[in-house]
Amino acid sequence: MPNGTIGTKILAGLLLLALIITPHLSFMNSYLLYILDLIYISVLVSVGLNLLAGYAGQISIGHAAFYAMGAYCSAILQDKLGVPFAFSMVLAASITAAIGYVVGLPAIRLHGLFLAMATLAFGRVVEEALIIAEPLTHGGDGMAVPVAMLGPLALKSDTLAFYYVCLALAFVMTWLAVNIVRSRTGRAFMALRESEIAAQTNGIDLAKYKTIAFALSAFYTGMAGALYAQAVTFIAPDGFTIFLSIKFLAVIIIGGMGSILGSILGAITLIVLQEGFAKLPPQWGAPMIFYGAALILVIMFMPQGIAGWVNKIRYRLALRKMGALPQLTPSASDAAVS
Amino acid sequence: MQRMGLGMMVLVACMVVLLGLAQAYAAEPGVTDVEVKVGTSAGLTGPIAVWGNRMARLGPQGYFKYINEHGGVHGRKLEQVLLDDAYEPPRSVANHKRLIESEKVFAILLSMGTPTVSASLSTILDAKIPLIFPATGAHKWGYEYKPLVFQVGADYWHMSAVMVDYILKEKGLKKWGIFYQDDDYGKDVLNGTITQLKKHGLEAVATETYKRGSIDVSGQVAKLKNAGVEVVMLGTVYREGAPFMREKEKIGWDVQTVGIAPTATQTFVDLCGSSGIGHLNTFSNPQVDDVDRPGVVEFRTIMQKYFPDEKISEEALYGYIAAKTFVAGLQAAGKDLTRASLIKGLESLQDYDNGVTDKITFSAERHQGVTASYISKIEEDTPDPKTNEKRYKYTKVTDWIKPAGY
Amino acid sequence: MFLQQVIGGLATGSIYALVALGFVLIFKATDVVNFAQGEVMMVSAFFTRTVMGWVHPHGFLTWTVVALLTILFAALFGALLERIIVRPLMNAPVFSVVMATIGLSTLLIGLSGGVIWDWDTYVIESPFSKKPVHIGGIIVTPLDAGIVAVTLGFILVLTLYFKFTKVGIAMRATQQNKQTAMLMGINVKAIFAGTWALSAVVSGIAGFLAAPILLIDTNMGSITIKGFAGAVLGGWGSIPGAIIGGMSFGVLENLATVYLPSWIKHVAAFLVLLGVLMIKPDGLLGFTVKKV
Repeated sequence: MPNGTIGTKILAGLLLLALIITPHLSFMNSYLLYILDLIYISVLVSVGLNLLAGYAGQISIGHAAFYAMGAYCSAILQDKLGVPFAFSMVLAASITAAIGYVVGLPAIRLHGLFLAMATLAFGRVVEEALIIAEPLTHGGDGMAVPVAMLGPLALKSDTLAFYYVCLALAFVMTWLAVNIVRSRTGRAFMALRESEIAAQTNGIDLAKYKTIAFALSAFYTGMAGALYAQAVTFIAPDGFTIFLSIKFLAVIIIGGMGSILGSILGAITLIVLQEGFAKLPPQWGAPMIFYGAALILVIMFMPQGIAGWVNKIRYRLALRKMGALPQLTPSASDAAVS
Repeated sequence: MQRMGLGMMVLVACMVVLLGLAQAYAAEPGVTDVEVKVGTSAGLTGPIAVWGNRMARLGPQGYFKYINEHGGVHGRKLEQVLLDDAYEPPRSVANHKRLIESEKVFAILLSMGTPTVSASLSTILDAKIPLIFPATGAHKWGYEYKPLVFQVGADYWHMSAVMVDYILKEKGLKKWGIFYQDDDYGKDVLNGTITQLKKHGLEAVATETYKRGSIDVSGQVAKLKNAGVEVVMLGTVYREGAPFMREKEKIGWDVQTVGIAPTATQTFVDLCGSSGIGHLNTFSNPQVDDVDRPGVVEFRTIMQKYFPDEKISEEALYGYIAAKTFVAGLQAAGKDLTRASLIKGLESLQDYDNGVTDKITFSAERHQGVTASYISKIEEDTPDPKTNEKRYKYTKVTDWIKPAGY
Repeated sequence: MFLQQVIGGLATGSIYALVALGFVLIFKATDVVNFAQGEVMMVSAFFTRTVMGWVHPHGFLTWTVVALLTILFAALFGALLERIIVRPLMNAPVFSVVMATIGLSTLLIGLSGGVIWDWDTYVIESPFSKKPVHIGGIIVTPLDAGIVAVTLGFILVLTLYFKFTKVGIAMRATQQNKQTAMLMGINVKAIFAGTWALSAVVSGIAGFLAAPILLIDTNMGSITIKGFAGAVLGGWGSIPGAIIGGMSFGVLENLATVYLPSWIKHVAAFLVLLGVLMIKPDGLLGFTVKKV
């Protein structure tokens, strides 16, 4: 897939430019700004999770735990030790990555179902740990997150400074992920996903790459958690449940697993749709019905997610350009492409 | 082609929604000559859907419809913009920002949930928009955020205090056990009870926690029994409170149980069945079948007229009380309605009687409405005439009691 | 007290075990993990309650009617789910099907709460009475005993079924390798449908028996994780394993609430599970499910 072509780079550059200008457009308000912040944070989580689950093929149903760790570590470092946000975020992400690495160790021996179960149990244990560690985390009551300052600028959900921080991090980390995926590590991840036995036969150190995948993914998610804490100003253990972990997975499935573009599209889609749902009559149970049905339908009819569908279009356009698609009748092009 | 079509639809839907959300409204913050707009964010789907729908939707909307049919307040009709946050804090924050920035509401009314409203608080305070009667029982809304935040109902500290005082005085039971949910709600009950016990020079003998959704609480019941507890404060909602009661009945433990608001519902009584008999509970709103209170009668009429298919519930009654008291504040604010005049209007309410709760007095220093509760006991009711099944109900045993020290 | 807690834990554990059993049945035949197992039980329980509103059971005959209607509904429901969700995904990767079942669980909750029934919580009575009986210092109710008995009964019946009957063996063959099974003349589609129906029936019976303990509402499905944990603990893919694992999980939970300090009691069972997974990923009774 033409991921690194000039065309894509130009598009990405234009997008970045557009997003930099966006806050200054006339119709913007702090609500829309916040939604964009949430999207950037969500992109971080999605990309991180996709690296682990989509590229390296390791199923994790406990990622809300890493999100929570990033959020709480950053908040506690600021609150109890007065660490400035820039450091607390990096430290929090690093601590989360270290724990991710530790989680990855037993993952060396577990696969598929058993790994899923282990990550599920891990998520539960962390959720509980947050409540127990009351002197640090304020337990079940939840804790207020101090306002972060970057020099003279306040990083709050309605400030430009925070917006640009989130945007910058989302872009940089995504770019980083694209490069990881194309590097040796990325290829090792994909080899891991396809067949662990084959990978080992080819000399790929399973242990090393599995733990790296977990650590990397945890780093991204922890960073996202730290940003999230600043955005919502108040965090509590019951905001980091298994349901959230499942939501993270659903985002990358709908967006497209094993695709960085998919992570981005999935994040945008879900957040935008959530906002659309907020006003619907609740008696219909609409969000849950939609959400569940969407997941099922995407898996059935668009198994590569939205990104897969986008790629299909690009592929067809490219083929058409090359003259490989002589006609535009639906059945013919379907037969040619599928 | 179908695949492309589906994907296309999704993408277009996204774009439409995104564009639709970017609509800017007129600059007036929720007040025109003919309308007042309030905003609410609550869990209308998800874990607290039952409370969200009854308390934040049916109750206030019923009362607003009633008021609107009678000309509104100073000629202005009341409208509620209601958004669902599914009890998720980030969505609550988004909803409040949207209510403030896009919907441009005049005030926030009855937003629900402690973690959710707490997360939205900085947004609300920064926008200097009044937060009226949030639907959470945490012990801070009526005290800590003047002048913008008001609370109408008694919170869990007030209720625990009333119960502690009552039991100590009437029954003399000094060995307290507390069984509570391991989240902010349960902690509130724990702390409220312990604080009041301390005032009497006592400490809780044993406390046990449970996770929301637990089926089996036999371990906790056994431990409390072994600790020699004489009275158990249930910091639960009905889902786990009822299993506690059934378990204690099963092992034949005749301990006195007491509870506060979330178990003050007929649902709890029904779920307990025979094991509920003798349980005492605080009520800061009367029961929905209390026809001695004119406000309750009015509420029943409203529910039957506008929402005939819905259960007439205690949760909706609370929403109605909040809406009615809010309207009293609007009335007192006068024709020239601004956020400042609303605050003054509410603060001017002295001994205001909404026909349901104890009388309410606000002032510049006092933003906490009701603190008093009365106490009821679960007893056997007449059997169901159709099926002859046994039924149970709450019966009032005291009048309004104000908690000492609040 | 120790013994009391163990006995009590067996009853709760049996409910987990029945959920686990539902998982394992589907897995044994179709290689799929159904994360909507708890929600299948929920829908079935709601249906049971509706039926009880029509029939008002009070004697053996009326209870049997309710039970039979529940079983019939569950079977049809299970087969329906298989047809519209699992069959189209027959050749998709396992992870996709798992996520589809997760989507299904959310969908079922939304449909039950928003469209068909509502979000409130209900209790119904069970054919077994809840009157406590004292046996040598331990308190048991017929309800507890009934749940455990039915669960154990299932182990026996189903283990024999899978080992000795034609259909049972066909199911195992299908799980080992679909293609080969088809080549051997096994009607794989019918096996799939039948397995899902059977699994749904197990969940339906669980809901029916345990409703007084479980309370019926849209949150019932939260039991899925514990059932899953029990199945893995006992040895994934094994019917006796599912049941023993589920029961052990329940007992562990109960003992933990009594004997462990508060900071660990709510997750002790999960920690044990993690420990088992580290040391013996195949679970207590484990045998690895080998792919042909």
